[in-house]
Amino acid sequence: MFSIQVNNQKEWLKANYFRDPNKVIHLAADEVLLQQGRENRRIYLVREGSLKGRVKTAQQTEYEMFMAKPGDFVGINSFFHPNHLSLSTTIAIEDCVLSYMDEDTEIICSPRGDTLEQQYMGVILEEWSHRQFMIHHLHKERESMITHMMEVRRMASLGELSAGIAHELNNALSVLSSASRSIYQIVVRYLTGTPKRLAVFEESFQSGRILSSREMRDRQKALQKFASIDETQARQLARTSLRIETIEELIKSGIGLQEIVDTNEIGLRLHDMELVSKQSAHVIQSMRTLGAPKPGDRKDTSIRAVIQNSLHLLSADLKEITVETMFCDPDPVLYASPTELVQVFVNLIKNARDALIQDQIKRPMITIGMESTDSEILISICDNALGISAENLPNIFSPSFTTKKMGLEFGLGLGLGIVKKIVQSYDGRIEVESSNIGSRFTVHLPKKKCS
Amino acid sequence: MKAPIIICIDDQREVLAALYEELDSLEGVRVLDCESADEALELIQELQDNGEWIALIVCDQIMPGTKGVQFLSYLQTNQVIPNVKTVLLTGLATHEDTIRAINQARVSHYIAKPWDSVYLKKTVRSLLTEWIIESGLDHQNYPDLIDPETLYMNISGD
Repeated sequence: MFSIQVNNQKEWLKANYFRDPNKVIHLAADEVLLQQGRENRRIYLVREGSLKGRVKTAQQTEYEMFMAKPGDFVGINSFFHPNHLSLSTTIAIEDCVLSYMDEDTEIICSPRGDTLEQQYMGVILEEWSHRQFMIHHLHKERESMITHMMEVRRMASLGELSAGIAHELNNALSVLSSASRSIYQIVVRYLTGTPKRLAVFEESFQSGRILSSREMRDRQKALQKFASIDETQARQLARTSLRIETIEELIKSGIGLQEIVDTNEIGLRLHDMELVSKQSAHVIQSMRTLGAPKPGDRKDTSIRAVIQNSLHLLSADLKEITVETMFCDPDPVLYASPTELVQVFVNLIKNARDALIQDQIKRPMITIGMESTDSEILISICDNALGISAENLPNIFSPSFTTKKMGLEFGLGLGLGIVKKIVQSYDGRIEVESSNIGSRFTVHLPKKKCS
Repeated sequence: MKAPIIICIDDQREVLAALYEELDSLEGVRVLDCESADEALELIQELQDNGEWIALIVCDQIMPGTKGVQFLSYLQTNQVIPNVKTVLLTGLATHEDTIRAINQARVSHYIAKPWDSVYLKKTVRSLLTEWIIESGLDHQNYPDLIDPETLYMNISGD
């Protein structure tokens, strides 16, 4: 209702106050009609062309406050304001024709009132609410731009930061890893004269910490039945990686128990050092992929090659597992970063492998399937482990979720979180199906025209 | 004299072993290790049935299943082991975890991973000394364990 009344009033104003053929001006593009802070004693009506109003703030920043098109009024605010100063600088965007009224124009009685202020009231209110809306819109736009920029900056600095940390830590890790290797070789050399101790050392170094805390306590109880050894010795022997039969033989022969315990401890400690340096290197690698994306990496990438590379990288881990691949013909090609895709499949295949080992599956098997449709490429990774529990299923993609118990495997549980992030960056998605006879992860990657 | 028991809990075997060796080098204590809170609870039951003295629990925060703070809160709320001292040993705890550790679990001490060997042992000895005094035991029976500084502060405070 209000807007109809305002429109009627507008038409009435136009028809009554802007008829004087002598009060018409022409502006070329970029010409200034009103200057911010200067006096204005006219109301203009735009006949042809368009203008914009720019405001310079006290902080010297400029923003656009309004745009005027044919049929709009310009200069109302300063005209009615007691000081007559323009709030903005109004500039012609293109060639314009404007009619105007001024203080000489005769005031006519209208249905909405006798004074000019009353007659213009509706137009003024509409103009102000329009400006308010525009400012709000501008503010929203700026807010979302700032959020976006902060996100970009955050990712970039995370990338930079992680690169710096990675460099430092990788250096430290190389020292740790090479030192433990070197100590290992020296110990082997020292022990070649004593084959029994060398065997203990090699065994503990290779196997690592295979006993759980519960198993160690049970072993201790079993060993305490020997009267020839005290509680401390029983405890120390129980904690070695030696088989219980071997320990019993050693006790019976009664020789060099402390030496055996110590040799075993050296082997285990070196094993731990090797293990944690490898795992830390992996964590660093994972952390780096969380940093800034590297779009420059993307090129036409063979999916078959990606899978084969991933399997190659994991060959040491997959020794005891049958891996079956079903590639499709012709080999699908995607515009993608091979490094990122390898990261996705290494994580998924390694997860399947870990599940098979953890669930102690008798005939562990991983099947990798591939399918190419008109719109997307589907790659599935299936295992025959015991599946993911309904309770865990909703959490598997969240960072820092892990069910892995053995050592520091896969670091902070970043694995699937990273996988999801990478796949999403290709507008793809991952589906998970899981039951007590196995799990299937299907990666959907949409085919896109190269941009 | 029965040796006071320290129970270490950490799900990562290599870390648990390192922690065990560290504390096992202290004279006059018995160290036991567990890979989960559930296992620790079972062990505590067994030890209490045998009339053993559990003096200190050193627990990791991030573990599959029951988290460290959750476990220590349970022990505190249910007064499972009267007088027991607790240490939260963690590489990563959120602000909330930390608040709960103090308010609900009433941990005696908080140590960040990687721990400093000297500081860890000093803390453990200090807590064991407090435990000995609070349990009404004669500190002269534990010459190897007593932290003289803590003993002096506690006795002079009386």
